[in-house]
Amino acid sequence: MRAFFRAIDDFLRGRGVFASDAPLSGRLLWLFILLIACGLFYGAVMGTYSGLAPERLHQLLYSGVKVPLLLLATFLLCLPSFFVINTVAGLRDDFREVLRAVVATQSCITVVLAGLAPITAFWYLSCANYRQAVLFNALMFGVASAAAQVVVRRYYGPLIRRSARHRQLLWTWFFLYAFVGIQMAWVLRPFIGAPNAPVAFFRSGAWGNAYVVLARMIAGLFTPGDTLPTMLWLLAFLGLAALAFVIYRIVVPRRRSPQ
Amino acid sequence: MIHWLRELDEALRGRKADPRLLAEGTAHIHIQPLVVVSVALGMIYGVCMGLYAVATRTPPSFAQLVTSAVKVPALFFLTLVVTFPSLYVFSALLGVRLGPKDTFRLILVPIVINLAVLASLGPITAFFTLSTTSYPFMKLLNVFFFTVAGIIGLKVLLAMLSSLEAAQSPPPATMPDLDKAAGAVTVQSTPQPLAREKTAASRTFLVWVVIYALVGAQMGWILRPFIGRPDLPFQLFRGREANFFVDVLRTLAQLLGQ
Repeated sequence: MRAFFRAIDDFLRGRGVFASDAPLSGRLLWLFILLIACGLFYGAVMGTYSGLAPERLHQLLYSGVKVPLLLLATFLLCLPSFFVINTVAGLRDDFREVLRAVVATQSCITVVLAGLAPITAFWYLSCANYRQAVLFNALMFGVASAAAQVVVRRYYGPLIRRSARHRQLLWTWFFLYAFVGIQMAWVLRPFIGAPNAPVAFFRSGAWGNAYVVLARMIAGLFTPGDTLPTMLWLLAFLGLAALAFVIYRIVVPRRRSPQ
Repeated sequence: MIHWLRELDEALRGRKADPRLLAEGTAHIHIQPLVVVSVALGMIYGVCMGLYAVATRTPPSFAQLVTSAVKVPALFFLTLVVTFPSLYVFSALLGVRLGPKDTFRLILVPIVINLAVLASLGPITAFFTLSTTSYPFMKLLNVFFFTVAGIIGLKVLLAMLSSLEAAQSPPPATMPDLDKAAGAVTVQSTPQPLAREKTAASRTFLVWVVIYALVGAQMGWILRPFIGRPDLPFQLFRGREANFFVDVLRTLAQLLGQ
């Protein structure tokens, strides 16, 4: 247990075995342990929305399993094409380090999520609306992904300094991962478990496609009638994206200037 | 088996495009293993594509799975058969110093890489196939993946052409002497006829890539169905109708208009 917390501390600070210039061996295993343990923890907290009644307790287990499953399955699906693209770009020799960087990013997301878990539990206690709970979790995932950029920079920085191509490949990875991850999250629903629905690992008839739903929403913008709420959502989303971009632009040069 | 994979690995790592090797000709690009590997890679992606007909139909249509696995490699090589003669004729006409076999070897490498990228995207296609029933979405996803793989193949071809040019340009060993003789004047421009040949090679291959892409798109349309529309029965080929580009636009409209 102590070794586990020490590993988390080292990982967050980037020291010891997790330092960006430390030898690679033995670290991937730790990263996967962190990913699974912290993912399980946050997922279990996520599943407490519908209460801790004994007949619903297995929702905790289901939600707990789903968070690491979401990350790992997306990772495995994206890995072959990322490997081939890296090779074609002539960066095969760096692939071990690249692999460590992308696994570390996912581990960092789950560690941050585990840290945010009490806030999620607190939010559950103070709201009674399922939709709000879903949105709050989406926000937490967003915050964790943003925080994981620190780890991305730590491990990808040396690579990018070696070859500027790594920057383009990193963007490729983000795009690919998000594209598959969104659909994976859609398939693995429900993560939280609506209190009025029975507990189930998969929602019955939930197979479907996130992007088809999105396309229909966009198409809905152009049909008369129920346009205003969708418009507002879209505007809010665009505004948030613009804000995130502005923050990113402000933060990034400052981080780089000391070098 | 191992031998074929090693060839594939060398092609992916860009060893086939090494200027030092290209300077001695294209003999280091072995045709037979690369063709075998690219057929295998095409079949892998074809299986991922044909999975849709297995997943959405009752009873599952395995015939579609098998024909898709055959059709994807066929798509690439039939397109090559259609466009290769014109490439050779025009490159010879414009004075590119590559024989037919060299030309074939040169374009085989980008095609292998194209198929390797495509096959590596196969798991993602399979995942979306298993989790979605929307036919327009699957069609557009496949068009997108083929485009991505094609663009990467194109980049490889351009890199190979530029290293071929570097290989064919005169060795830089004579430059220092010239520098000494000319004092401070640096010699940067290559002799005029060679420069003209360079641009001829690049231009011919670029025009050919555009033709290959257009013919390939239409070839895909002729060889359809790859995925298999769920409300139509299995057929080896569909009748002649419209073309690829019209259908992509129509599919987009369908996806948005549902």
